[in-house]
Parts: sequence; structure tokens; C-alpha cells
Amino acid sequence: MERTNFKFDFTKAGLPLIKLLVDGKIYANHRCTQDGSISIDCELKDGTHVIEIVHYGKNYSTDTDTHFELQKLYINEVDIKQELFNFIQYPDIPPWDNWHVDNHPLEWKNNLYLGHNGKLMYNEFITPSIPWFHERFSNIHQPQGMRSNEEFLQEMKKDFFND
Amino acid sequence: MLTDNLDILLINIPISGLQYPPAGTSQLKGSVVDAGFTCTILDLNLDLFNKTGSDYSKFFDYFSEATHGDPEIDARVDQILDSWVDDVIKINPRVVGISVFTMMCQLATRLFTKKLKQKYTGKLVIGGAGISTNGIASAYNDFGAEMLNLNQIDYFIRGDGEIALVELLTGNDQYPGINNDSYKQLSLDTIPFPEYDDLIELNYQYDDGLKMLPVNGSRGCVRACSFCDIHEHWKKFTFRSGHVLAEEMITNYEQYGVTQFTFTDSLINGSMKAFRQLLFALIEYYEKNNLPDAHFRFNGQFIVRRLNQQTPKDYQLMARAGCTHVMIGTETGSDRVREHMRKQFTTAELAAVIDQLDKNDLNCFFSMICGYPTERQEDHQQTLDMFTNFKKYALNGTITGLNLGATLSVDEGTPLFNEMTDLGLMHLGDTGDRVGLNWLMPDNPDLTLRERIRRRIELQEHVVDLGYHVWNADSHLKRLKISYEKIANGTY
Repeated sequence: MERTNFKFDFTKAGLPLIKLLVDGKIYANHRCTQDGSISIDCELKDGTHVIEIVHYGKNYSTDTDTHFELQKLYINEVDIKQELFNFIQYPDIPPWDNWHVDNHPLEWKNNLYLGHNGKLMYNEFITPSIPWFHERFSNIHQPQGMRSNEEFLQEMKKDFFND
Repeated sequence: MLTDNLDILLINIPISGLQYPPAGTSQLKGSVVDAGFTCTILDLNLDLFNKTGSDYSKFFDYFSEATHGDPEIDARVDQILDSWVDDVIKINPRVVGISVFTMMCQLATRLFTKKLKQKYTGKLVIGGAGISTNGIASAYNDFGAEMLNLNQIDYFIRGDGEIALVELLTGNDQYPGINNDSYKQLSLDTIPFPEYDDLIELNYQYDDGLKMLPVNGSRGCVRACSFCDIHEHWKKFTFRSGHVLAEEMITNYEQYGVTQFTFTDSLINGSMKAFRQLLFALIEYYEKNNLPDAHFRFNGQFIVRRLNQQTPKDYQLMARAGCTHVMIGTETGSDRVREHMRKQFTTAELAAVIDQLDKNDLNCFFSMICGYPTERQEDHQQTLDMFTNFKKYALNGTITGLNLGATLSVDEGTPLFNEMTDLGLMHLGDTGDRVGLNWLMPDNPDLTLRERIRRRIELQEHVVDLGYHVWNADSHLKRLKISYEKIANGTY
């Protein structure tokens, strides 16, 4: 298990209702009254996780301006920056909307603006998280012969930690 | 191309890096060619890599004096040295110049010149920081003098070699710095650009296969850190203007198509005026030529300045100009210890720099010193805490790695060495022996060598657990272990 903190920074218009889910479990259910952030703590088993931001309860007739836009996501205080754009939006577009006429896609990439009801979903986060961070964010080119080996560290530890 | 009329053959000798063409010989070639002499460069360091292939690490260890006594390696080294001598004889230059880049080049220089002198009748000259026995301290140039006394060379050149080598080629062997220590520090803007024609197409170990060239922006340093001997070599800080630096990079781009550069000097922001000139000049070049921001990519060593000396705008300019990565001598997480080191910045100021680097998608690398003479347990804890606090930057790639070093060595030419008595620092070995790791601070008696090594191990374990990348730790720890054993049995 790994204790993991997610902090979602957002802007909004109107009073959007937002649920935050990780692996299907609801960790927050908010009416957003001002721009800000929502922080949740989760205990996650090792493996791949699904993060969902659900925008719900919007009345398309009366709440026309209401929206929620995800600005940043911090995982364990790390700003995941461009990785944010791997969230996929699944808008819940009303059946009468013209969008459906030409079978336009209902899976939107590179769009963090939840104007409709619907959800943003990210399913690429993995715990233990350190290797995941390394894989996503490190750009390491170690020169030849300059590596560091855990075994030798432990060997040194045996030599120097026992009096 | 190679004729027996060649004035000088410049040689890169093992062991040094393979990531890009070495700067020294190309810099010297620029100067001697500008003065009307003919010159060719042979990179024997790279040739060793090519000749030994998958066994390269054995030869790396051999020439860096980490191993010895393997008859098979000895025989192969002998063959390789003979082949290099044959190469020189075929070229038959008037003068052979060997770049002894660091101490790690001394063994190869010693073995190669011994063989070469038996067959080659021209003049042999060596130069470079490695002609000093320890580090770059000018007062201890034992290696150059030793090689001269052994008649394995005809000359050594101390300090900046660009003019001294030209003078030597014209027959003036009395120029300051030739076979003596009284060299002159040069005005860097007057030095011709380096010439990489002989090396640029060779198979260096470029990152991502993109050709990279070194650039030298300054010599010396604006700081006077207690553990560093740079001021023994370059008394004053001299630097090239940003315009000239940009011009060199642009020339290399237009001539060789190179867009990746690494600055080889101690700091790229020693002169903020020159640094900003460089950034503006590069951005202006991109704009005039319809090139995107950061068309060139460069990295270099970087000092943490007071917050009012380097502003957020500077980091934005760095990003636009293409500075991708800086190396920071962080050394410790304790402000008290860092103050004694004369580093002139605090951990809070460092944090502000990292924050700016992060905001602008720039990366950095830390070098550290564990076990400084005034470091107490609480200081060590502050170092551990600093890395805990910076963890997010390790995970998001802003801090790309750490060099944790091999604990503090008191080296000749450093302020720590020169001021040992005043500081109360005790050398535990015999007079005349090197101090290195064999010291104790009576005011801080718990900090024995064993304790320093223990802290070094603890630090590595801590940062690895947090997700930092540690570079070259095996080599550092092996050296520490060997030194510890040598000190214990009196053979250090």
C-alpha cells in the first residue's frame, strides 16, 4: 500500500458539482464555489489506478455557463505538468445535441475543460509511484561507467555500519 | 592530408570522457592554425574505446589506476601503445603535443611518452591541468617536472597554452609557462575559436546521437570555496563576452550543424552581464533566422546567487535561449557548513533557484560533499532533510541526479589545506604524506573517517529511497573503501 496525495487545481464558472474518484471510490464530492484546489489522500494497492473527475448535476437549460477546468494535478506534491493532457474527457452530451448527428467522437483528448456533465479520466498512474515518476519525468543519460549499484552500497553498509 | 611537414600533432590521451570531442586540443588547434602552423588532432582516448570494445571498462580501470597486475591487459596495453607510436611515426610531425586533461591521464602519458621517445626524434610537449599531481594546483606540478627530468618530454606548458604553444612553435621556449610556473592568464576574447574538423565526425558517445561540442566561457571562479584549488591555477576570473560565446556557438552550428553544447568552465553565470548577453544574442539569432526558441541546447555549471542577483526573468531567458540543464555545487543542506565552505548561499536561496528551474522546465544536477570538517550530526541531518524536502523535484525530473562524491579530501592548493593550522585541522599522517582523507578536526572529534564514510553511505541510501538518481556512486565508494584500508595499514 502506498499513501498517495492528489491535489487538483481548478478554475470554474457557476457552481459546478464535482466528484473525485480513484479506482471507483469517491474521495471528494464538492460544489465548487470558487477557483481553488481539492486535495485527497488515498491508500493505494500496488498496481495501475484510475483517477476520475466527474462533473455532474449541470442543468443545460439553466446552468449554461457552468464549467470546471482542471489546471494542474499534483501527485505527492509533484506537478505532473504535461502529463495532465493524458486525461481523456468523456462528455455526457444530451441526446438532443447536434453533436450526435454526425457521430462525432465522445472521447476527447487534450481537453481539460468540463463544460458538459461528464468526466475526465486518467488510467496511467501506477504505484509504487517512484518508478512511475522516473519513467514519466526523468530524462537521464548516465555516462558510460558512471552507474550506482544497490548491491555495492549494501556491501559498504555491512563494512561500515558494524563496529 | 597528413604530411611529414605537419608542424604539430595534438593528442588526447586516455582517460577522459567520451561524450563529446575534448575541448583542449581543438582550442589549441584554433590558435596554432590562426598563427599559420599546420596541426592535426588524434584522439587516442576515443581510439582506446574503439580498440577495446566491450572490454573498455577494464582499460578504463587500468589507465585510471584502479587496477593493475593482469598480464593479459598489460600485454594488450603494450600492443595499443605500440600502435599509437607507429601512428605518430607515420605522421612524423615536427612537434607532438599531449593534452594531459586530468590526473587520470598521467599513467597513459607516462607509458606512451616512454615508448614514443625511443623512436620519435621531434619535440614532445605536454600540458593541461593533469600535469599537476593533485587536481589543478599550480604549486605542485610534480608530473610535468618529473616527466622532464626523466627526459620523456622536452617541454611542459603550465596554465593557458594558447599563446605559449604558438611561441614554442616559433622557437621561443622562454615564454612564461614553458617549463616553469610563471604563466600568464590570457584575455579570453582574443583567443581564436577552436577547430573541431579532425574530431567532429568521430564516434563520440553523444546523448541521443546528437553531436555536441564543448564551449568554454571563462577560466577561474568568482567564488573561493574552501575545498577547491581553482584559484591556485587561475588567480583571477576571466570570461568571454556573451556575444563572442554566441558567435562561437553559431559558427559551430553553421559549420558543423551542431545544436548541442556543453560549457566546460566552472560556472556559466560567473558574470551575469556576459551570461545575459549570451542569452539575448542566442534569442536574437533564433528570431532573425526564423528558428524556434531553444533551437540550441546547452548546459553548464551554475552558482546559486542571491535572489536579487538572478531574477525570474533570467530563468525565462535561459529557457528561451536553450539552457536545459545546470550543475550546482550544492555540497550540503546545512547553511552553517555551507557558510564555512564560503559558498555564499543558503538552502532557502537554493530552493528558490530550483523552483525557478522547475517553473521553466530546466533541469539541474547537484554535487555534494559529505563529511566536511565542521559538519556535525545535526548538519548531516539537515542534508538528509533537504533532500526529503526537494523530493518532488527529483520525481518530476527537475533534479536529474546527484554526485555524492567521496567525502571531503583536503587537497593541496585549497584554502582548507593552506589554512589547516588556523582552522585547527589535523593531518593524521606523516609530514610529507598527502592529507587527502587522512585528517581530523579536534573541535569535531566524532567526525572520524569511518563516521564520514558512514554518513556518506547513509546519505546515498536515503536519497535512493526518495527517488533520486545517484551517479557514479560505485566508483566513489570503491575509492573510499580503498583509501580507508590504505590509511588503516599506513600505505595511503
